[in-house]
Amino acid sequence: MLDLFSYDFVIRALLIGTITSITTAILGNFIVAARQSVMSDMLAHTALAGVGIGIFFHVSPSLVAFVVSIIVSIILWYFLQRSSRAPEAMAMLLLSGGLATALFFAHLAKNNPISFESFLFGSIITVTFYEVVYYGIINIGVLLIILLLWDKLVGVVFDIPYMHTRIACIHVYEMVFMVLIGIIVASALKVIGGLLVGALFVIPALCAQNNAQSFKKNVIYSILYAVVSIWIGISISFYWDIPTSSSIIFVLIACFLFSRILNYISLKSG
Amino acid sequence: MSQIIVEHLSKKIGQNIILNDVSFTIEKGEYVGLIGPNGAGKSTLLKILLGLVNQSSGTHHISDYGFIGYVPQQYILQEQLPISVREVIRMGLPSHGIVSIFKNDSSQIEHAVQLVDLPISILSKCFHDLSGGQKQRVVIARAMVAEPDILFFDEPLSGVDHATKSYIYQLLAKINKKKRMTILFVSHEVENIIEQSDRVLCLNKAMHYGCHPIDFARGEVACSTAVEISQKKIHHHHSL
Repeated sequence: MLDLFSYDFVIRALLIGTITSITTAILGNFIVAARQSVMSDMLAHTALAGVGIGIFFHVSPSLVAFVVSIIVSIILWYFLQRSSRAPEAMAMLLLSGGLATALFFAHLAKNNPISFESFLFGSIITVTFYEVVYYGIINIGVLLIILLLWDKLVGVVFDIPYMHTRIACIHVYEMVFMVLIGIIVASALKVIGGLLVGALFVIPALCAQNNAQSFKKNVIYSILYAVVSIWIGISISFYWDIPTSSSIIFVLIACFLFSRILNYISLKSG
Repeated sequence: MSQIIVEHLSKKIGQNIILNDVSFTIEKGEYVGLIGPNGAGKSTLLKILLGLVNQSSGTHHISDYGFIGYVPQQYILQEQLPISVREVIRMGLPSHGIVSIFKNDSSQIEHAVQLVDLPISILSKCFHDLSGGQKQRVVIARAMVAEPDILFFDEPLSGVDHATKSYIYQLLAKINKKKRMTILFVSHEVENIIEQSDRVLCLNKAMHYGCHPIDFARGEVACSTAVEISQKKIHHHHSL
């Protein structure tokens, strides 16, 4: 086990994996509670379009991904406010549009040394020290904003009509919520991949849901599930030489099954 | 000056006239019932007063208040993830951001839960596991927790058993007198609301056809049964 920690790249992967999984687990609870799981996936696909554009124009792909993700999250918020169209259908439109754009630019830039695939499926073990600091600061910033706005965000995701009677500008907080998802999606592309990031948001919240009685406890349990999954996932990937993103998702699904069994046992005994 | 002033308020959605030229005033500390048949626009009127919906024409003004408590007709609490009763009631308190996670607001929340006759032990339970009547009472506790100056109740008592209903009507009357809290109560329970409130307003479907809305206690325009009951109430007051 100890030899795992003798490699710098593993340490970096564990560091960035831990901080990312804490943020995604917390934000994921809000996403699941607000029934916005499709939105997180949609934002991931449009962030990939940003990566494609970045690679093609030789600008930092992750920077362009952030910009595109934030802009699209605001557009989506605007659609949700104004449009009478089904929100999940609008999300699907932006999702396929984003992926088509990503594919287009990635094809044009296929001779570029930056691998588009590493953003598609993630490559946590190639994360540099600079990236750990860069993504780490972004994650901590988002965590602080979530904590500062905790009450308002809980109100936004659980009972927006009621919160509207309490706070006139509550829709601004809805927008902040969407933008936070956009930022974290873009920052998690390298860690878990655009196609798999939704799992990191949603599955920990689902695992915790089976055993918690309050939202706060659900958040705490989901953080535990997410961090444990990242650590076990990276270890399995290291020893058995399988793609890290795959092993992390497999562990998350195993956690979900484990939580179901825990729930079943507690129902039987209680 | 009256605390709530509504003048010539109308609401149209497409070709549908929801409210037509509604005018009334409510004084500070009054306990006013708002009745009317289904589709008369009672809920829409409350939503306009709360600023949730814009009126098509007319004005409304609410003065001299710090906080408005509101019990919606239907509570739309998302059931995807667990949320405890304490967390639901806390939504009614002013937000303090990060501090509120660690802030000890237990006494206010416990007080609110006792107001609606629920045990303190229910606070740690998951809201979604409660019965319909308990959920309704929790939602009322949420409206009361910040001790508002004005309370809007939108037919909140469906799914609550008869004893609790009477209890809550009486409780509101008590709070209304003790704290001079203005209460506007939308209800189908004509007899209960006549019994407990100072005054009853009625919105009649007739207004859809151009008649004026009705302010019963002032005996302006009529809609059969309610006028009768309301007038009894007025006589009762006079005889006191």
